Amino acid sequence: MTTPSSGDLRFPDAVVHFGVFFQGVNHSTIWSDPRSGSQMAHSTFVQLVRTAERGLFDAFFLGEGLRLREQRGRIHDLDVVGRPDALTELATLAGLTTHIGLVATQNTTYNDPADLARRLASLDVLSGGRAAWNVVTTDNAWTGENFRRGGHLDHADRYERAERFVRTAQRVWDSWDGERYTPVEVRDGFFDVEFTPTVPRSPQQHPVLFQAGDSPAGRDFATRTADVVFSRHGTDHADALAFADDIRRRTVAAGRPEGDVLVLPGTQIVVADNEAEVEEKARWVLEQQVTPATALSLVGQVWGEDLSHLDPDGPLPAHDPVISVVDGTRGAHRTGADAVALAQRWRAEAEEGKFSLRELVLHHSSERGFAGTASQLADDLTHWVRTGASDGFNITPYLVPSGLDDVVDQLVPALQDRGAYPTEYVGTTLREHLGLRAPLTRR
Amino acid sequence: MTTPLHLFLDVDGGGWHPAAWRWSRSTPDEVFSPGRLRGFAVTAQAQGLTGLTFEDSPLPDARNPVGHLDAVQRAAFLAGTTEAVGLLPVAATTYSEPFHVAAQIASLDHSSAGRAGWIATTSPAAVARSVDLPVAPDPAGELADVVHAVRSLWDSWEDDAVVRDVATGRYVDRDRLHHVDVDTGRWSVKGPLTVPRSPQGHAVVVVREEDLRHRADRSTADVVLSGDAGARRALGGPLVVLDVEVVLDTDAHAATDRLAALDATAPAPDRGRIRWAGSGQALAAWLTDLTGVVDGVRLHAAVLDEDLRTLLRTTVPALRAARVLRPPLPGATLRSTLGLERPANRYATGPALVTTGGDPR
Ligand SMILES: Cc1cc2nc3c(=O)[nH]c(=O)nc-3n(C[C@H](O)[C@H](O)[C@H](O)COP(=O)(O)O)c2cc1C
Repeated sequence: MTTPSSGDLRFPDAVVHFGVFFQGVNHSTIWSDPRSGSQMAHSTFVQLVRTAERGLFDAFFLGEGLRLREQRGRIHDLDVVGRPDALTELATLAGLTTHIGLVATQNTTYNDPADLARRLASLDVLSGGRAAWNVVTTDNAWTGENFRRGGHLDHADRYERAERFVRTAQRVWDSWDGERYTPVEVRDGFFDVEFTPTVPRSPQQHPVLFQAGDSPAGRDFATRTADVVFSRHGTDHADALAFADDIRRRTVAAGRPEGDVLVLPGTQIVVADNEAEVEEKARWVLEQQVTPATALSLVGQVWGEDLSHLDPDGPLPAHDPVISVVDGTRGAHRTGADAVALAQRWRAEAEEGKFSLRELVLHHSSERGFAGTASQLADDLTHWVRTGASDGFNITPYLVPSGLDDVVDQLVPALQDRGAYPTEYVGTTLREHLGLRAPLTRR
Repeated sequence: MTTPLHLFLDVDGGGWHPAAWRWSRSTPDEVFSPGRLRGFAVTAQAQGLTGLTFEDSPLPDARNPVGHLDAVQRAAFLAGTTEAVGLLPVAATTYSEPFHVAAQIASLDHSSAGRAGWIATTSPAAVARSVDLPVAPDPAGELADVVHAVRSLWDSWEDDAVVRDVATGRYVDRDRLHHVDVDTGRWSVKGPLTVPRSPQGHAVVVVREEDLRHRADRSTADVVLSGDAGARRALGGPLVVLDVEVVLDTDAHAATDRLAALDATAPAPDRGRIRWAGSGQALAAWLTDLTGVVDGVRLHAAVLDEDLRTLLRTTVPALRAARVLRPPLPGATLRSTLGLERPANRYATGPALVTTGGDPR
């Protein structure tokens, strides 16, 4: 990467914000390593959140998925499976921490706004104003089979429901004036709610709103509603900058000041002591994440059949996929892609690069993020936030619970040396950590 | 050895009396403060109480005009900073999604290392309507169905489903995960749960007697909350915990005077519970007489800030001296404290791991 001149820096004083994304279900957590702890034990969550708080992270973040992933009717068994309910776990962590923000991913399709708003407000009060809600829209009949409403929502309606859902929640949070509650009545075709709230307001007034969803509709929803966008654009600088510029443009179009919505991409960070070790460690991480079995499983999703009998070090299948579209309902990796076209492209690439099946998957792996020495990484991340490519990062540790140790012990001090990271928590609420203004409905 | 009397304390708002918050030393803001909640939990645990219960209602009610924080959230908040006392929140079955309730209570059981209970309650139709969910035609039947679905989800992972087999690259044994396929005609749940089976297998399920369709519905409840000391004989199966509203003498005022003053501020509705007024010692004597009659007592303090002091300074020490209380051991599960078995897994294919009441960990 070239060292930028100061003229490139649109935000020369910007600091890096860090969150930790405890993903739970994915193939980026290396569970097979002896250093990897239980992915469910309470002590695991406590160790990780305490490390993050020691490193002055803004937020501890839990993902959500309300059905176990399956492939062709069988539960996917290669990756971490199982996690606690996000809000319940975060309430426990609220009792064990003092500053770090607590972000719960919760969908707007299989919840009810009055009920969810109340639970989020309770976490916000119990944590002294550190709660946030990562609004996701999970919409498929397959997840819906676990809920009363089933897969009741057409794909096209989901952001509309999400927006009305959040608006209803905001009204619940706004209905306490310090003395009394005003009943909330919503009858908008999506909701038929007549609710008198019972939870007072927290020191940050409303839980902070995150949004995760990348489509134009998702971005418009975020810039109309949210405080922070949790994005996938956390590896390539040009791609991240284009995304952040798009968010800034949409924020202004929504009638809000330009910097009103922060951008925090998810990413992975590999720290090592020198160039040779960086290379070796990054390779090791990738190969642990994409095991031979995982490579076969990912290719099997594109081909739509069980390929576990193939040799991962051999070629891709010579025949075309038996499906036309990669199944989007079951947690597949490349949801919705044209399976035949993708397979043909992959075969051509493999031939040209002389890649085996597994090498091809490694080549396409999305879990790259950043790798470097602490000093290189500090320069790199500082450059990202000062050029406006992001406001910080949501780090997915590849080892749980120890995977944040080198970030906190090595990278954070290097960032502090550059004046690009806080040296103490300035306030006590998440809204203060992130430098956010008052909630949208309370300005 | 005498059979122990399990003592539970409800901690919600200012106390059971609707005028509590006016007489409380806490301002409305303090009533919700996390520090106050933690103070109750630490004291209750130090005094050897078996559990804390967290009453709840999503709508305002006469008992607690100030409001409530969500009960599961309050219980979870205390899970990491306590190590012996049971944590039993209310989660209603009338309008909640069974899948969400199962996940929340299982998570509480994980984070408290096996000290979770679940007070499964029906709630008035107004609550279901207010949150936009259909009103169940038969709330007691709905409760039994929801508890069945939740217990099935708690079994949907066998205890040893996480195998972490590096040789084959498998994190879980998919044959030890099960779809539950519960279908009541009104709703259905597919499963498995997204939370692995918890330390107790099933959290302790508590049901109010008036919410039980059949008085001895053993498979629904592990513990029945009753307002009637004779219920134990009638119910036969589950443990019976007597619900008692107490008003106690304080240094300055007699219990009966305090109750009259509270009632003058706001009259208390009759909730079908025994109401007991008197000195802390007399309460201890009465509770001692209840050993062998009921398995436990849940106390509701009229004004938490006042009655809890008397309770902890006189009643509980007297009960301990009389060896009526058997305090839970740090690290014990709520089930083992209560002498309840760890439920076998209905889907388990291999031999059940633990089928007796010992600590499973
Ligand atoms: C970075 C990121 C993280 C996400 N995390 C979750 C999650 O934890 N749970 C979930 O149900 N959906 C999650 N989503 C899915 C989104 O909510 C959304 O359903 C999906 O991206 C499709 O919407 P879109 O077409 O607008 O991108 C995530 C999306 C992104 C971009």
